Amino acid sequence: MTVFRIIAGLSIAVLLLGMAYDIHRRLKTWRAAGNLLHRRIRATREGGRGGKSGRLENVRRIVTIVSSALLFCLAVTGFLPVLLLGSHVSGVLLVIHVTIAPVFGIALSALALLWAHRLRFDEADWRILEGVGRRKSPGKDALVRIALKVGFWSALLLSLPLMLTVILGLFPLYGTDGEALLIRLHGYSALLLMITALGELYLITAYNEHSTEQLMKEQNQ
Amino acid sequence: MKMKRIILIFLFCAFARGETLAQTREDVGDTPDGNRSVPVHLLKLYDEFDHVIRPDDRPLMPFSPKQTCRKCHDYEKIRHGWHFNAADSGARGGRRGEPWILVDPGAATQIPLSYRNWTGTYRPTDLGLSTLDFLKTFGRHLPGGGVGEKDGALKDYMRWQVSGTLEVNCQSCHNADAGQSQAEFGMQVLRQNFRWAAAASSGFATVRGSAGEMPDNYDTYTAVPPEASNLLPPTVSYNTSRMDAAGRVLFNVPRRMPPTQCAFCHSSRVIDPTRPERWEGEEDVHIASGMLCVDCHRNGIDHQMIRGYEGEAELRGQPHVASFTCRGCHLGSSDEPVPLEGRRGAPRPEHLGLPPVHFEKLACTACHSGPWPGGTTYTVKTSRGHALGIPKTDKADDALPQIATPVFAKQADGTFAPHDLLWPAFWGYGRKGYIAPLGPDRIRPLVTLILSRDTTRRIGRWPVLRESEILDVLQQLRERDTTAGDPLYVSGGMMYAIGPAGTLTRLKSDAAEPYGWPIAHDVRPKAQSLGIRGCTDCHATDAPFHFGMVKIASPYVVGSDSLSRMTDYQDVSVVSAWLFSKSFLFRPALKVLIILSFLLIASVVLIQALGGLAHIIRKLASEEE
Repeated sequence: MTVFRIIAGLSIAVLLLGMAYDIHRRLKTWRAAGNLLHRRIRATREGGRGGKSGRLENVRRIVTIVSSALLFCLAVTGFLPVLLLGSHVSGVLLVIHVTIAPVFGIALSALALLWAHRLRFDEADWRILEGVGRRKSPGKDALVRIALKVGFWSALLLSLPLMLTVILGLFPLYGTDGEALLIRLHGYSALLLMITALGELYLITAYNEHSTEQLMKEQNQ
Repeated sequence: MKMKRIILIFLFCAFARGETLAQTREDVGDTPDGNRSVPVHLLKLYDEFDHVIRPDDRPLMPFSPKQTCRKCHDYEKIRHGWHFNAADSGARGGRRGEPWILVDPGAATQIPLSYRNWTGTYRPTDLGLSTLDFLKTFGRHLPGGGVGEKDGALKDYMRWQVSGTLEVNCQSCHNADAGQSQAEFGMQVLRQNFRWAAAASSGFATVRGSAGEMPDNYDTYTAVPPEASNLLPPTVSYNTSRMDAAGRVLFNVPRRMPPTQCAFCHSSRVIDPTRPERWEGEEDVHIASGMLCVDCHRNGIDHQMIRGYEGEAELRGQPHVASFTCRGCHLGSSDEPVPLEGRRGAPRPEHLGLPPVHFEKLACTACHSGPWPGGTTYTVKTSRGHALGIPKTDKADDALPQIATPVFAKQADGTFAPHDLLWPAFWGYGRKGYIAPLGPDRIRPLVTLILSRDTTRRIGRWPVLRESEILDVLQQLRERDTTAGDPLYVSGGMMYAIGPAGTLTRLKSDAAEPYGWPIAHDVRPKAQSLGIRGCTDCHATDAPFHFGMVKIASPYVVGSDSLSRMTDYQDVSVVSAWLFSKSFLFRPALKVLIILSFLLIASVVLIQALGGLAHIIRKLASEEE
């Protein structure tokens, strides 16, 4: 538990500090960062009104927002007692956690179905990979785009041990030590998933204006 | 001058030699040489003045365990052991344990007492009980020693001369002879035959008469009988067939005492109306499997018994003591340099599917000990509380005191454990936040009138008190002593006082809180542990663990308050416990949803991975072409 607390605390702190540093480096002022966030929210809202993106696009946006919100709730209920109190999740927090978890599972499945095709790795990504092999720097937009794809698939991949450790723990298959190991694996998977998701959201918010457009163009073609 | 020096040196040597001999003599039985055979205890008997007892002595004195046993054992060290040190000023009380319960239905009183500093108990002196009074009431279930040897009070000086001191009765625990009778010891203590009690219990001596009936000026040693001819002074006679030619008696002192020896003072009987017969009950699974109490509750010559609760090792400053707890023996600890678990073949539990949070929140006993919980708590009778084992004790199921079990309450270390629970009921005066309880002797005359009105009352049971009657007694108490403070009555978890308008007022008070002590036995077999049928053994909206009802047993309980919910003792809100339990109704559906989500996401990832693999294969093939 102590090791996990240290690792989790450090990882989250490093990620948040990294983001803060990046925002400061790129936008110089917090006001500019606020403006960017405001712009992104407005863009999301406009997208939500139907506009260009169409109905499926609205569903995509909604599912992404719902999944992010649910993940946030799960992270709070899951990490708060562990990080702050050093105890396992229990009581009302556990009730909230286990009630939200299956809804998150459904939302994540929907997210996977809705975004899998758009964020699939394709020929262009292969070329970028080949270019990296030849020490050829891909453009910033391409890099962000591929980072978004990697983030998306990493999140899906990490959600598998996250769910599997819960499923196995719910059946009388493992003893005291096995259950403890499953809980530990669940915690580490959740930590990695949360970091990946936070990174993905940051990319979408801070970098993705052009990359999203590019992705949408590709999708429309 | 030279002669004087020689004499001094001689005296010094003589004293030094005497001291060495004395030490060696006392250590002989306490320092093992490694031989595992059991030493034969063929012993001469000594009286309290260290004189060898011969059957033809006149007056014939009872043998003294102190003088007899100290020939080989360090009595001074032993007498500060756990069973004897309650009143020692420096003794650690440790975790709360079963108190002595002073019950007097005639005074509507039921109050937990202890010489240890356990929160919620009162010292006997708080109720005006002298050491002698305490022994006369509770000495029946003491192994002697402790307060039995604290005969310094001037008030009872003459009585102590008649009764003698109640020395540690080593045989209470160590004599496995079939004739050894703790019940007889108890009876002799009740007769104030403290000096004679050990001999009477031994099985080879007969004690007649009662020191309690003798006048204060009775002289035991001249044995002149008192003037009243119907009173029999205490006398002892020995079964000489048990003595050899040298006057020695064989004591059966095995190394590992059978559980029945401990059971006299440590029995409990759960009153389960559905299983009234003894054969329908079970004994502790450890005992059933052939273990003995002393296998876990060990001690050295200092007689500091291992009580076996979590945290005891830290309290005692002896880390290895932790290996004698349930957890230490069955699960072990990674802190130990060598593995210590698995003593006596203790199996390592699998706890299949049990989330680890249970090990943080629950004591092992929560799932494994005490009776299987029902919708409402049971009543339990205990050896010390109900004088079990003493002839003519009240064998009725509803005999007082009324103790509820099992109550799943939160312990000081934050874990839940099953407890026995007692509701204090007593009269007293409150002053500056402190309540001074009144002894039954001071109250009984006031309650007598009430008792006489209740024609349906059964002797030995609670009187049914009415509000007006409590008020009446409280007013009488106020009139008796206007300077003592506010007269109060504590009962059923509430405190009652005379309100400003002269009516009875109900108040909350710590003094009215029930006194609970954790129970560890009887341990049920694995197949009867809570959770064996699944999570809903505890996590159902009607599961006794959170939603069981606790009986509030006291002379005066307002009807609506006669039951309380288990969550009241758990620091848990009933709503959150209910919500948590309710969530288990949907758990199967939640499991299905998570499994479906897992399969769907795994399929999407797999398809993408296969697509990627196909792309790599195509690329490699195209390069080849």
